[in-house]
Amino acid sequence: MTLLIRGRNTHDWPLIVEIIQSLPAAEVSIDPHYVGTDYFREHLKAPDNKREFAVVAELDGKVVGSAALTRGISRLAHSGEIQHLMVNPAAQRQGVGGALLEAMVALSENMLNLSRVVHFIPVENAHALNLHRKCGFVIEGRLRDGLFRDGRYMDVYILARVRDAF
Amino acid sequence: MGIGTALMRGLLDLADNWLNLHRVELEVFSDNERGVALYKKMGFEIEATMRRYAYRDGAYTDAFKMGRLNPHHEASTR
Repeated sequence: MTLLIRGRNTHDWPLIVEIIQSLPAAEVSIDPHYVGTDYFREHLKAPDNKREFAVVAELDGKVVGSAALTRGISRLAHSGEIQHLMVNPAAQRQGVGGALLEAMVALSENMLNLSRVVHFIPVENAHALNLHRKCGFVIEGRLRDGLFRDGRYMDVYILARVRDAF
Repeated sequence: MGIGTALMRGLLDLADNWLNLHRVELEVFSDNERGVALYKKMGFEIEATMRRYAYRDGAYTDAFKMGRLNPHHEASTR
């Protein structure tokens, strides 16, 4: 089993759509049944600026996960937000999510010198919470009805990893 | 004068009664006591303390995330 985290290329989009299609409705904010492939082809292009970063996880040569990081602007330029962290259900429990999260943290701290990284996750995702805790994230708070998915509101945790240096 | 209160009432009337929003949220520097007091008066609750949220006057400063649910929406929608 070989796991590789690499930058997302424009041609990776069909396998990312495959992941979105295989996730339970309660875990996605977009229902792929009602969104045409034109939308995904456009929105899953490789980022073309230095504020947005996107990576995929390849397990034995197949794209099974992806994640993105967006850096803040102006007075939030020291911070970044992790978004769209997902792993194909068929490849879960093999460390792919943890590797993607570690890659986003390494990118934030070692390349961008960010001191604050946040990720918003639904409170009912206990597995994601554990993963983030292992990676040094703490719960900063809970947003009531912060998200609407699969016909209902869910509370959302703000998870943050903060460095006090400089 | 109560100008801040009047402005907030206007915004929340728009949110609750004309747009039927479910949730309104805001960020406020955690040392802005008057701001926090105004928002609490308007029904907002502190939901998170965001450390080193923004750079301000030479230092990183914490901020609160405050949230308010539409009072017309009952718990049944949750």
